Amino acid sequence: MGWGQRLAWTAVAVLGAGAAGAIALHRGESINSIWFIVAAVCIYALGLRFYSAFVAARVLALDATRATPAERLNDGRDYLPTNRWIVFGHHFAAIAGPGPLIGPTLAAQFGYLPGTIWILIGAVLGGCVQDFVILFCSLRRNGRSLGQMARDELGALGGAVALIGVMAIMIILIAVLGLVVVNAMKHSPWATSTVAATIPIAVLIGLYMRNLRPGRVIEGTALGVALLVFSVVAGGWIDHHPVLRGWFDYDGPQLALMIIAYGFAAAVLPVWLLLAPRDYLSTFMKIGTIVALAIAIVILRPEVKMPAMTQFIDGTGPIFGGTLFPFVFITIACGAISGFHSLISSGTTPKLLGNERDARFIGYGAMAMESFVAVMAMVAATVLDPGVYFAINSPAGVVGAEAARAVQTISEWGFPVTVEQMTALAREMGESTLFARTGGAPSLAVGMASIFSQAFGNTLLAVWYHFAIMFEALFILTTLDAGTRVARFMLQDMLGNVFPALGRTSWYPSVLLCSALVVAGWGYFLYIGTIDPLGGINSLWPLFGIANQMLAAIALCVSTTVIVKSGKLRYAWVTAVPLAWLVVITSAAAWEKLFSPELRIGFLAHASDLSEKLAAGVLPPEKAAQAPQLIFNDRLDAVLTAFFLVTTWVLVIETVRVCHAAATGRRCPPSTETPYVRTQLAEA
Amino acid sequence: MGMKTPWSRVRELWRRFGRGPGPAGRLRTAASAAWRALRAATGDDGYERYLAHHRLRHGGDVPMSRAEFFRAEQRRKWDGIRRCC
Repeated sequence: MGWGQRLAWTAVAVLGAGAAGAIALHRGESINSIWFIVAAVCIYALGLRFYSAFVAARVLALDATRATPAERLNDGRDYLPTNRWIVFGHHFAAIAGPGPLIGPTLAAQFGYLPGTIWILIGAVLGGCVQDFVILFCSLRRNGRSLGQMARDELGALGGAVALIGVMAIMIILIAVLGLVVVNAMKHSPWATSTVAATIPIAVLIGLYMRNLRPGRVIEGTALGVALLVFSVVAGGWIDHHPVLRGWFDYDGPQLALMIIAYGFAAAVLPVWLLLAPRDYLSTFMKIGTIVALAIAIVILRPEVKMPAMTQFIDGTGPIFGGTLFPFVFITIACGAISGFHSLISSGTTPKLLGNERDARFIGYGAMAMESFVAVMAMVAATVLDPGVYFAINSPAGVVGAEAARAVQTISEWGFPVTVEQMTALAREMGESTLFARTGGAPSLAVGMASIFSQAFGNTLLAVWYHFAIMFEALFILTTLDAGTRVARFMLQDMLGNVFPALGRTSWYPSVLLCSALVVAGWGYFLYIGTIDPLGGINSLWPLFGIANQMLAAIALCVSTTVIVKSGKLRYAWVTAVPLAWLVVITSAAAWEKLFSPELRIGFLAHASDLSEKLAAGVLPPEKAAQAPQLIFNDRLDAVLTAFFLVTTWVLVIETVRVCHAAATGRRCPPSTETPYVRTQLAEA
Repeated sequence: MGMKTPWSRVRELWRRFGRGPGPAGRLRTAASAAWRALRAATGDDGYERYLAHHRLRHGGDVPMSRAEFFRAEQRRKWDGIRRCC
């Protein structure tokens, strides 16, 4: 490094430290959001420039002269050396989902500081490292998947735990995402009609790209995006039409049933008809909207009005119950470290890399960008008046169903808000009410709408709001479709071991049966979530967070084992420290969700409280009718949590055993790294 | 057809635009590069890339048609985990 570069990086470090210090130590009325952006960009730049370089050179010893699977196994399709920027784009589009938008929005109930710190530190030292190391492991193993690597490196037990973990996380994830969409659409004809319109638009584009103009992706997508924008405007007309609006006005449980029916249809229809065109549209909308949000925040530099920390760090928060530790980590999930990414890092990406050296920029860099999306979501949630933020996100079961009662409760917490303010805001956004829209999508949409309308002309607030809702729903539904399909393949694969006929992925009876089973799995949790008086998110999001962080722990177990087996025991801390931290937070969170006496935290406490009340006959009739379902659901959630806890520990103990054996020269599964072959590609 | 639609006029203009050195030529080069990058990033040029690969590796056989190729690609792409949370 020359003196000029040293000076420049010192300046970045000083600027980053200054911005981070400003965020952490600021105790005024409000703080400008530009400090979040500056701190984040500087910290990611330093992580990418220095820490990832250390991991690449010392820990993994990336070798540009080693032929990658894309070169050795080049078949022109799955395995294909591809331009590094294109691989970066595909990898980022694959890992960036709704998680980093929802998690920070929910975690904002603790204030802006705890969530932001964990997003930054967790990504640079945990999430980016996980994605990078798993990508490297898969690159050195012919592009094998996480499940296969877990089986190869840790033994059959590891493989089985990874497989079941992926299934479980998929089911919970889809349910909670479905719930977020339902909460955005309930009794909102505008949102519901716009989201409904995305289905025929996707089908139309599917037909266009298959039959009219085969493979013309840009044309098809441009047409689709234009239609989507039109559908947002048309939703406004429908909302004002006295008859038509009635066709799109539903409550939560009704919408849940519709999404379940839709999910089943999407899973059994051919991919070209719905899933593939919807994915093209959602990818473009996602990248376009994220870029627009970044530009708007930089132009506008809105003030963050949420306090650095709220009183809810004591565990009494209205959106989800639980203390700062461990629940801020479980709630942020994807923006800091996401186990799900390891499936992409060991999926399509390693089969496209032409040069091993690019694993650093793609694995580490794409996650840094994803984490940046989470920082922007945190900004969008905290620029709202805290009173408005809590009014939108608090479930009726916590603050009361009537508007007057809700604003009184929230104002008493020290976040002043009035009924008039909420009514005016709802009218501006073209909604009848914004109360109790728990889940993150509506409050994020309000934040985005006010940022967009101020940055790009102060009109059309309602259109921006519904554009933001449509954008979130579009890629939530894409994740829902794609996830259902993947879970179906995995279920078919598992059942195929017992009944070979069910393992044939194109045999229609098996497709129908396995799709129905998967949809029934997440559909159950989704439906219960809509009738849960505590809002559903309260129980489902922590469960999702625990499952996701558990999958990250599995990925880090595999990574640590590979590093130890390669003779780098002294560098094993690079993955072992994040692993240890994840085990601590998932265990603590799982323990609390199981055994906490607090009704909104402990599943078992809630179940026994409800059954006592039911037995004593103190519940009103409609609550009494739902109680048995809710009690059963609490117990089921408890069983799932216990299962996550036990499997994580089984895998960690297995990892310690294998690593100890490898370090002391005892018998253990040998490393499955493919032998060195020199690259023939000119580039290297 | 020979009809002068607005679109064909735009294409005609672009065909003649920026041939030779100077700022217009540089703009043309930059715009073409951006367009190529967009096509590559979106997979719009997938069929052309397939044909190139096909010529190189399997010179003798008949390649798939554009429509066949696109169908095969979509089937292949969705046989695994493609999207995340």
